[in-house]
Amino acid sequence: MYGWAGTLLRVNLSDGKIQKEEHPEALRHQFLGGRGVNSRLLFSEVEPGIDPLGPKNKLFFGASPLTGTGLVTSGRIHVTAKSPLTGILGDSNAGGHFGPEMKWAGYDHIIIEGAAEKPVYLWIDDDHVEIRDAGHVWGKVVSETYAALWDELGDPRIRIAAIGPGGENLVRFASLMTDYGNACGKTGMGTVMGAKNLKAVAVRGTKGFHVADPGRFKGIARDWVTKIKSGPTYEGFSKVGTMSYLTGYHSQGRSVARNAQVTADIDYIDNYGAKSMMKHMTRSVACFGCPIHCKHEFKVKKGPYAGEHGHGTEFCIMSAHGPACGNPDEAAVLKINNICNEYGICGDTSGITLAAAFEWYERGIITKEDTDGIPLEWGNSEAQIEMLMKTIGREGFGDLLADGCAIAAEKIGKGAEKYINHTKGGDIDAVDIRTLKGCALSDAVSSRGGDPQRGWPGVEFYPIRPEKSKKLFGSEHATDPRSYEGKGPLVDYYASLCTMCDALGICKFSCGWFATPIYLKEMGELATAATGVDFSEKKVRELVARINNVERAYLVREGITRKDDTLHGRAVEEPVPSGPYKGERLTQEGMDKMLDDYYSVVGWDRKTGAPTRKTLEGLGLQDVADELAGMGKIP
Amino acid sequence: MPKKLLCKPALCVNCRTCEMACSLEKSGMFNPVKARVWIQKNKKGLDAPMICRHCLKPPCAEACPVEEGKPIARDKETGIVRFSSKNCIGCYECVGACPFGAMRIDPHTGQVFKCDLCDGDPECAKWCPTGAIQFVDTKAFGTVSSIDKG
Repeated sequence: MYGWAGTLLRVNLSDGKIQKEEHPEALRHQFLGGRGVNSRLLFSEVEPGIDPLGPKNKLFFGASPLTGTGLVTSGRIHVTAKSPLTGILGDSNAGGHFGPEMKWAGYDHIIIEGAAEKPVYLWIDDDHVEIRDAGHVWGKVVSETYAALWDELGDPRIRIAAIGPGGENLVRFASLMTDYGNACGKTGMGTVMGAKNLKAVAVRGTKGFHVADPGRFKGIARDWVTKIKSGPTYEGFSKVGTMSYLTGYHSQGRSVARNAQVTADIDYIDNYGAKSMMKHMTRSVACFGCPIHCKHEFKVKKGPYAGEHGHGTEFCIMSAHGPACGNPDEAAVLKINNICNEYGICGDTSGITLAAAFEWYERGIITKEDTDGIPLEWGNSEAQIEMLMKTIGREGFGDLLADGCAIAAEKIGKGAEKYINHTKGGDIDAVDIRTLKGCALSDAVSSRGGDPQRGWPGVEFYPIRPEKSKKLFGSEHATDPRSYEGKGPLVDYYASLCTMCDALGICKFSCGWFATPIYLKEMGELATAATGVDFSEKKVRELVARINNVERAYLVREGITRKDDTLHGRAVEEPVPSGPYKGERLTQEGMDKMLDDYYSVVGWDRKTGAPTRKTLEGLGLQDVADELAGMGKIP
Repeated sequence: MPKKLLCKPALCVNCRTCEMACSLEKSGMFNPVKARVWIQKNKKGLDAPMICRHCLKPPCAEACPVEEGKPIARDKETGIVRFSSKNCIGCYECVGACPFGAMRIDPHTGQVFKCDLCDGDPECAKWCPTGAIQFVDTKAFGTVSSIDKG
């Protein structure tokens, strides 16, 4: 076998049973790897309606045929489970070095079942797999956990995916840290680990694997490096990373602040600009195999947070804990970045949740009495940090916030739900989505709730000529961010690229989603060189459609229908308050038009939003169709 | 003088592309334990490529206790310090002697192995995306600015 390691590792924490299974050919060929295989396994193995925090939930770690090959950005690991934050499909992927190590140890996927009675960790040393006691590291932050396990196992080159106290305390947006500063952050995969009493997975791999056509693989891999390095985003990105988005969005009039109350009117935005941020950065760091090296190590040199040093800060956390919380102090956010990484919670969701709490406080929906005396006033970064720590510890008001803003708003009542911005419980990135109709559609139909990396059509930020738009996407207006026209094919195009990246286990910064000239055809060529299996462009299109549909079927089985394919909060309730897009709205009528369009492109029923039998059967998903029909979800 | 490998830890971002390039070239597979180069944090906290510098006076060869048919020797013409497993007794004296961690041990066979500069056209330098590993003409060595001591 080439590309794939060939083995699925199944570990049941309830009874301690460890099994190694041959990776079935049909699964490999039809779903490739990473998110693809994980999502199929989630549909097949996790029954509907279960408690995400109960033992019936399963956690899938997925590598892919390219993981650990040294191909650009091939260091990713995809983690999937039913999400305790959203109650639907949860998944998140991270860079670092864990994925490659797992692959070199001989495993494409690790399936964690059941729940341990007491804290444990999983130790994988090639063929040797062992469930070990983790009592001594339970309660420790991530870096201390790494250090203790390296010491215990006697090798600091062992790669560890670990949770921190956030996951142990079942904060619903707990992350899983795969290296210093590399997080599977969204949708609470660390929470699922905590619920299973699984502190960490430690792995050492020395077996390696072959690819089918090393010569061709090498040629393509080298070519990709050239393409990426000569791409339009490389230069800035390799220096500043995703932090450049904040000022980039601002210059377009799309930056948001104060829980998206404010658009484009942020007088301290330069604190988050490249010049300001680079003062704190000490060096660039890459994930495995990556020439882009968008990560950084940093050290704050002056001010109240002087001496604070750490890893891996990026746009999501800077925007969510920065302007979204009305916080002008970028150094405070670097401190928060470290807290999130060490205690293992999603920097993005935690910031968006706090931003909602700040607004509830501003509006008197909650008062100092509710917040344990902490004044949640915009820009009070000390209060922000204090409440963040309470959230991680589930103490006082933090216990409520630890459930995420959607669940917290429901418990608080008093109209709190008016001030949360989300899709299916997944938060919307800190950019004014009202000004980007295709991005809004992408969020609305994303299988894990609000999320740019599921297929935001980036071209809306830099619209192309109408003729070119028509040629590529069938409509002259498709790439016009204000238009509702032609968004179905546009979002399907970008979502397909994102899905294929996730199934291949590569970073989306290395493909056409990010203006690098690498598309489905090129990705298929590489998959073929790695595996020896034909992944022509046509087959790749089928593959991504199959993944999209099995994920949608999972959502449908959990009760999701067309009415859920929308955005909640300010984005649909209010017009843009200021800036060049002042007055711009996201209308229900427009949303409906885009949904009709998208559903017809992907073959979903316009009324219910469920994939049709014809669509499912055309992709070889007969069993999925039968199951949905058995539940009365499709005819 | 032939070309030599120049390593600049200040430019290394720990992507480990060199490990994969070497492993593919030398073993036909992707497996870092087969690579002749590896990345290690140095005392300054920088990631440093650990690879044979093909020393003029190789400490590995000097440490090798085998007297007849020495497994490690420097080829004067090419400047490549070569290792042959033929007479190697597996004592790992060379491993301890190398200041660059460049004598590696196959964890499965226990056999020592090392870089042979890909016979004068090293893959690691070709693949390195940041210039942390460069293959430089010795005459230019002194003129390459900021040779980092990190």
